[in-house]
Amino acid sequence: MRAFTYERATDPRAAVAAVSRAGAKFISGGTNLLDLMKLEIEQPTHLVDISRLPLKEIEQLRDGGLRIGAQAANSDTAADARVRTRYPVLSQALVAGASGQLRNKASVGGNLLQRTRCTYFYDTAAGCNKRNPGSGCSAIGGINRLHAILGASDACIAVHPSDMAVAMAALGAQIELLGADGSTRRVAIGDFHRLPGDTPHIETVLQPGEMITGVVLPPPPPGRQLYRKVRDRASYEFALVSVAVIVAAEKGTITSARVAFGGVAHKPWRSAEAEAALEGRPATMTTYRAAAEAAMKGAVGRGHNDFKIELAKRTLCRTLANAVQGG
Amino acid sequence: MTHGAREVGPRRWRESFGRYFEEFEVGDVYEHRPGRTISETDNTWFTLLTNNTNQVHFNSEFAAATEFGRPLINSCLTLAIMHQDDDIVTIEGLGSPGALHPMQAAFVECDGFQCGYCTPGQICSAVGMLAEVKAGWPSHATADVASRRIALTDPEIRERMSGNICRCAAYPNIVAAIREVAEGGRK
Repeated sequence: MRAFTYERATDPRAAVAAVSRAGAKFISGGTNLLDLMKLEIEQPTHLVDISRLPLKEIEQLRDGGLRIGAQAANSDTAADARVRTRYPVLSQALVAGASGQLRNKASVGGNLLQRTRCTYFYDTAAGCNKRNPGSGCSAIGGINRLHAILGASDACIAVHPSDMAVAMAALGAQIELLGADGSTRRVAIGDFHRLPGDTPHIETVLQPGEMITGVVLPPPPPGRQLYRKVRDRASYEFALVSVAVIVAAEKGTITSARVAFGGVAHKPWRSAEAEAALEGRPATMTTYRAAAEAAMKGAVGRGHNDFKIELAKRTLCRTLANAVQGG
Repeated sequence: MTHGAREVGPRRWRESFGRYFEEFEVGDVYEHRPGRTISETDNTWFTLLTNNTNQVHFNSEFAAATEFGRPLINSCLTLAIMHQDDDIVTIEGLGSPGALHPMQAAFVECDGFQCGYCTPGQICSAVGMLAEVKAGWPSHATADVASRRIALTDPEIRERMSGNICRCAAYPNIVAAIREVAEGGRK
């Protein structure tokens, strides 16, 4: 680990001002950043600790939505009574990720900004356009079993590792940002993470110095919510494929559907194609399969991860069937 | 912060591990995670939290404290300075030789370890985890996340302990030790 200096921000505006100096980074839970600093993949020269900012509240909004402060712990969010009862897909996704200890430390804002677990990103001897722009992608042609099947580029096939963000994508969350100049804005979660393109090192639309202050969930969409994660071991492992669905059916017909995938792309992957293939159709396996085919229409395997395409389809079918039957 | 601690002995190179270890005696309570500093990342050795002079790193693995009003976290993934003025309980603060915490006693009773490397973390996590169950927190093994009553089944224990890996695979006995404490201990 490289040497660095540290300061603790006293309020959000002081935090964005403090992080404006060269080499500075925010630290919140630190569960990902400190790992990356130990490996010298991240080399900040100054840390601005935002973990004690008054941004931990989870508050009911007048429109029926919920606002989750960016510094709320993953575990506190998962255990919040309103999240558990009205946004269970978010609770399920949160507890499917990491371990209890990590969830107690990791913040909601930090979860959105965690870096990929691509092994070549972590291997400083390997080429990686995300870690070292222009050095190539060792995952393409390498061991790419865990890599993206949707939205990837010739520069990067890494996936975003979050479970939480997949549920938030299905819920249509908005991310609240505070800019370096004190301005605020909201970005839809679908627009927050970028696809890799030619610049995989730029992962979000965050501007320099900008900080996440909260996540706003609109009132829950109708229907039953379900998160399903498929991984190489039963716990404490990242997804091969995960699916968040929110589906409502009346008299055997699907009246509304939300579908988002994890483990398949550089960002949580909401599938408008799958949703269109579900709404207004009979709640049958034939419909689910058609939706799965629609969702994976543009999917590209890279060799080791070819299985993910069929796995994603089957996982969606099973999750939809469970959600509809359970509801 | 800790008690039952004593000065560590000289470092010894252990060929089989390719690592340095401090000399220690059975019954002494040591921090098992390295005093990993900027220059020492390759030399993992036992160290005492209280002897750790590095200003930046905080080295008590799995500081468990839910029982004490603080959440369970991984000390290897946080900075000491981020916990200024926090109450921190590590394995050293949980119990001491002659006055073991019930979870420590249960691990001894149930033989919930072999080499002992992961044991401080396992015990801290077990204590913190049971407090989370008591508080009604859901886990991935909880069928209905909205339910506030968590049945402490073996899958629940295993899921909630999955952040602690035991390379000796003492898992059945670890689960037994946790169950013993959760069910009120031996009479």
